[in-house]
Amino acid sequence: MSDDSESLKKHMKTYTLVGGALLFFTLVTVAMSYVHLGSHGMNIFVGMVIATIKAGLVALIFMHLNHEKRTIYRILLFTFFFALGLMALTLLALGDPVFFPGFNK
Amino acid sequence: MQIPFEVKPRPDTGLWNAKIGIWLFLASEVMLFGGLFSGYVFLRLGAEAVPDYFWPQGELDVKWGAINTAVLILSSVFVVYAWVQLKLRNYAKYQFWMALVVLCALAFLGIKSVEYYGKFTHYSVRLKDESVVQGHKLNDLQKFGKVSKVTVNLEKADLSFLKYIPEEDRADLKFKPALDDEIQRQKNALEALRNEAAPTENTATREAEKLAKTISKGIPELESALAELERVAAQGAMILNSGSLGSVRDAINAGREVEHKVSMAKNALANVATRAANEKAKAEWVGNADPQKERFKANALQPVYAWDEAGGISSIEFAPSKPFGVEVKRSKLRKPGNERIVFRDFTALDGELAEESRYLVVEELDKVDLRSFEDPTQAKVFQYIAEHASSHHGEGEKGGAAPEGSAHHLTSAEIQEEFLKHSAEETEKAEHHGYEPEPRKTHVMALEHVPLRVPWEEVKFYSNFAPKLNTYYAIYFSLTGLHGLHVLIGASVLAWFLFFGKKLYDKDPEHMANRVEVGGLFWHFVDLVWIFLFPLLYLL
Repeated sequence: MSDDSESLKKHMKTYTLVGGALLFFTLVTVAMSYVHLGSHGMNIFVGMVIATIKAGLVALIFMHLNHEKRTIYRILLFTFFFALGLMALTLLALGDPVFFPGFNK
Repeated sequence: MQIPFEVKPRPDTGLWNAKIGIWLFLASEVMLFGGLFSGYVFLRLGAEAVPDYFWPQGELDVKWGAINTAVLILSSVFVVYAWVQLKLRNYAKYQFWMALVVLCALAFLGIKSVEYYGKFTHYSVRLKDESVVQGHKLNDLQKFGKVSKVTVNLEKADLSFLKYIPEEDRADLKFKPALDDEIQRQKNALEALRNEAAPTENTATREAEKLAKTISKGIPELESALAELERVAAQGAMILNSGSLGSVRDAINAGREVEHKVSMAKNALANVATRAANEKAKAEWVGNADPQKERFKANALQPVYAWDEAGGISSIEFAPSKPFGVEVKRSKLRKPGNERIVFRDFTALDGELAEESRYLVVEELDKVDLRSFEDPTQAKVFQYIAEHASSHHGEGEKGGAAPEGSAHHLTSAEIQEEFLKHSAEETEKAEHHGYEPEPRKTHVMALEHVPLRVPWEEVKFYSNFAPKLNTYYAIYFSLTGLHGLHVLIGASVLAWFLFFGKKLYDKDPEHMANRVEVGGLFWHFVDLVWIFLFPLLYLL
């Protein structure tokens, strides 16, 4: 990263823009939750996509992941796959008999 | 010794120590929150499979959630501003932005506290027929009076009931172990034995003499046990003297002593009686010309008094010196009731529940939820909403005509009618826009602070909006609580940098900038978690 004051001042500008974008996306999230997108699952999907975009902005710009060293990407790659596995494990619960039709009847 | 690579990056990784440290830590944080998010998905999917449990989507106040999202985003922007100012070696401006970050954090926590407080003072009541109402100002106080008997479990007692006795009842209240009946019974038994031992015309035989001797031998032993029992019973008034919870252990120990003496006395009686019966049977055997083995057995093995299993008594009754009452929240009771209540320590009180306490009262209902009903007119809840309004209102206005236009309570029928109208409107609205009507709209209606008064027998479950209410609030408080803790700790670290950073800044400004960068990375992560929490918990 170049540390001269010119580029730092440019950073300030980027941060302001990103902050504005994040606030804007928050409004979009709230607004979209009141719009019917066919099914509730679709609403959840869209909500999560917007949240992921916001999270991406925070991670890339605020946390400087757009220009980091390789070691950190490597750490995060591991984290990504492990976290994915963790979420996938939960889905095994769908095999629980409570989900079989008529189980609670 | 100078620690290497605190400021200068390591040549191989290109990173200084704290940076790689914080990223490793954040990676573990991802897994921590990932586990909880995973739990959220699990509970949400599971909720689909449970009839009559509806995921409380859209129950939280979106306004507060959105404001808090904005607050965190702003603080994230401010923290990078502060870092840039440090890089520009502009300490005053750094402090300015950092102060704003800390203020944002405090604002976030303040709003969160307001939300939590709102949840803890808001109640949900589920009736036996699965209709649900929500509201404020719930009264579950049980006024239980005319207590005439206190049964204390000697194993479990902590005597917590004492602290629920109102001040005016406490004066001169004493408790006496209710042993009078037991003592009388023992006395009668003793008397009966004495009579058996007394000489009569028929005592000329050697065997009868022997019997009298045997019984007489046991009597002093028995008398001393009885005296001990009487002594402990007389002392008992001191055992449970009201108010002093410190004497709880003493009370229990003394109670055990009473129990022990009762057993001792009974067993002494049984012992002598068994021996007496044996003697009697032997005498008959000898005196009878044609003795029957069966008869001998029957007589010999049937003592007058059954042997008492020592240690069998686990509770003891106390009689209060005067009738008293307790006022206790229903949730503190193991078993509520109209004639008998049982506390969590198994202490049972026999008395009478006040008429007003036989109803659960919620003064300001704000929502009725009938999603469990195909046909909402079947729900019983409406009759309890109106009952209260009409009966109380009517009584209060006796003797004078109600002033025109005074507060009008909606009647049961009116509220039910309103509900049906609301339901029809929402269905129509959904169909008009061409989507399936949602039960959370058509079968849920806001109420304008009407009161509820329902007999306890009709109540299935009630709770404030705490983790125990349902799985949603359990995961809600887990996730937001852990996140709030991160905000608190992150803000503390940043506040430390704000107030105590000058020394390091003067020594090595780049080192200080690195610290703020690392603190900032943590702060962004906290923001990032909230970005997912907000839509998941408040919106979807």
